[in-house]
Amino acid sequence: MSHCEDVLDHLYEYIHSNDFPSDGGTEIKKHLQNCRSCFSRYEFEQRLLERLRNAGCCQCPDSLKKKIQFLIKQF
Amino acid sequence: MRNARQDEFQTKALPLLDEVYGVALRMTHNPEAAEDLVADAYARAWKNLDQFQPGTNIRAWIYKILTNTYINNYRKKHREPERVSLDAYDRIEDFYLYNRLTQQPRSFHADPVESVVGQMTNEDFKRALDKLPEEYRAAVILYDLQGLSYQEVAEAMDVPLGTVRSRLARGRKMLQSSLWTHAKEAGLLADGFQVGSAVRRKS
Repeated sequence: MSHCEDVLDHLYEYIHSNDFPSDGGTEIKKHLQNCRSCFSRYEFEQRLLERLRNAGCCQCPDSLKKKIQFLIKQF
Repeated sequence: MRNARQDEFQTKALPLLDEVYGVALRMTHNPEAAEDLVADAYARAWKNLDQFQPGTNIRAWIYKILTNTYINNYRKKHREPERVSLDAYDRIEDFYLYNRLTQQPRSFHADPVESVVGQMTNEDFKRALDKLPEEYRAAVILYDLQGLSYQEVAEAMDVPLGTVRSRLARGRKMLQSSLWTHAKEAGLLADGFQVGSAVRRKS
């Protein structure tokens, strides 16, 4: 799997490192070390996802945590 | 007496409340509805704990219950009409935002990628996510943001694997094209970019 197209097809799967054919990861890793264009895309998508993940982060209100713990004790 | 499943729920499912609440908030767009949704989902999970297969991923199981509860009880009765046809998104290339940004002229002091991804606020990203039609939003949240596998997302949304893949592909395109539109309209691109400059002059 050394062609850019193949690597880009699996880029999101590689970023998540799940859904991955057991040997595919190392091939992609090798390609990314040698291909500046793919690496640049990889870096960008990874960064974008990181920002999206952090943007959605929040804390569960304490009242809800207590409510759920209370509910569990009841049953 | 607590059994092994109950122990796992206590030690592994309860600590997920912050992230599960975050997902519920992105699904419902409303803090009160998100609280109700999480409370309902956890109550259902606890009551149906015998259906959980020990040794499988309890996090994916919680998201499955959350998504099911959301689909059945919380989503809007009437779907909002699609403003843009899906075909339009199928014509958009992959890596849309990256391609747009890297085709921008670089000035001495600004890298277009940095100006946009670095300068956009959490609110900008949340708004772009919230704008996605719900089935695309759910796929993107569960796979891209929460890191569930294709199979786990398919089970959570009760759709085939191929549907998960196509919703993810379209959802990412919708998201990236909406971020691009926002970047242009908010004038986040480097100097010399016409649309951004025009917006800045107008305001």
